[in-house]
Amino acid sequence: VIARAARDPAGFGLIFDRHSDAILRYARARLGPDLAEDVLAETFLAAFARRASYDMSRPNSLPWLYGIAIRQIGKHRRAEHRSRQAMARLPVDAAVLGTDDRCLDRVAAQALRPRLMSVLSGLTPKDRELLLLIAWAGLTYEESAQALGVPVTTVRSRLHRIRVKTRRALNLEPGSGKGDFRG
Amino acid sequence: VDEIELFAALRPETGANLAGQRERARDRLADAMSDSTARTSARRTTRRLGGLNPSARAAFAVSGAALAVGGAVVLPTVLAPGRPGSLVTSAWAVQPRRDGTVKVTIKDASDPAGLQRALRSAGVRAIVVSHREVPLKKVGDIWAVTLACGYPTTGKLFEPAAVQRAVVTPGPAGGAVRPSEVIAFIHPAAMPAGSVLFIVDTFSVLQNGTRVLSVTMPAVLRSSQAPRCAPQRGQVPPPVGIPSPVPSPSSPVPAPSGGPLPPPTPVPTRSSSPLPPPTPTPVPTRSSSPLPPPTPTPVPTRSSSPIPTPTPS
Repeated sequence: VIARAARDPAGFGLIFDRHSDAILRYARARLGPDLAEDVLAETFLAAFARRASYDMSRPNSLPWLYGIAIRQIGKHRRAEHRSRQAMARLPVDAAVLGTDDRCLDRVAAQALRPRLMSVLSGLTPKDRELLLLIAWAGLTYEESAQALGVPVTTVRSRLHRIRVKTRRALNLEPGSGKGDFRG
Repeated sequence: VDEIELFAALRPETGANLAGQRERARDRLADAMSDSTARTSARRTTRRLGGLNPSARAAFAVSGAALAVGGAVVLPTVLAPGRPGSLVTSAWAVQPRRDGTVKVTIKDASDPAGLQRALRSAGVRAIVVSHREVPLKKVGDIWAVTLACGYPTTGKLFEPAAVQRAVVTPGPAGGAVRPSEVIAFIHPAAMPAGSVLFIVDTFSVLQNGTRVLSVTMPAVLRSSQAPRCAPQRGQVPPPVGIPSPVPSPSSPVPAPSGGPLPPPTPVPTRSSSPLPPPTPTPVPTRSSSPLPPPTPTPVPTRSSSPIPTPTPS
């Protein structure tokens, strides 16, 4: 599809149809609905301008688009900071929590929300981008590496660092990736 | 409990009303893509012509003001691909859209008659006033072209705010939009009978001689009676670097109040510039107000001299 889009601007519409919802949802999660529309339009416009530089050996253009979207989101750093602060202050809504499939994680996460948001804010921008690509966009390690333009080994080492920081902040048992609450 | 899963559970809900935002973004993208295609073709043509020399490029980049007196009035026009009636020049663009709205992009309103005509053929009755046609006023330490008429919406001449909001949707702020550029989406169907869109670009002259061009957001007039702009007394600052487009205060420019606008003055070609000679702009015979209803007359294409989009000043 990208190969066609590189030759034919109309073909770019196919890429938009296929991936715009994913990018829009991610931008909304990061910045809220108002700025998300701008980010979506700017992401695809930048992608259109750079379509010639796309690596045709990669069949899925979504990680590439996420990489562009991250840069657009980065232009709204203050708005994102405000959004995170607002999330940290939200009250826990037990009724919503009870209906979720991933109830356990969600209950834990909601209870720990202020501390998790503080961990998120304390991460370096690079670590934060990686964490959110995996946790909020649902990308794999390989896709995240592609989006961020780094090797997969870098992704693994950054994630390890993030896990350690999180466990320390939440007083979780040190472990290889999972831990239990201590208190 | 997995740490990454904890963060995943914090993701805000994002599901509602995706379609509306997606479609608006798609429209913006389509517009921008047609713009960029037009600009690219303009750049290619310029390269074929050997390019502009730096001084001509700089003069064009400063503002339309520089062109008004010293430079050639060359309005490169490229037909944007897509909707019929789209007209894109390096100074402004009028692009009808599928939903019946008209996208207007203005960097400067030089050639007000051309912009007015393009809007009319897109179904929008409009009065466009260029900085060349409004008088100069000193505000504090700076000289500024201003309208002493309560622009944009406080004067009696303008439609109430609710109508303004219904007719003019400001374009995206920030992001890809340059600070000196105005983008608005006009809804012709929402314009009350007899109302007219009013667009004016102005410029300020700072103490160091820098000219700052700004275009106001289009506003809706109740009738074709445009705001009266009283000539201001004062000494015109000497031009710095670029020729002054400012009319002498001793010969005040007629204010566009209710009457027909003065046609743009023909301007000699700047000899240092390799630009092609100016195409004589066909000025339509304007009867006295009120304006005639918009007619779907085809806009003349001046495809002879595309030059690149001016860089933001």
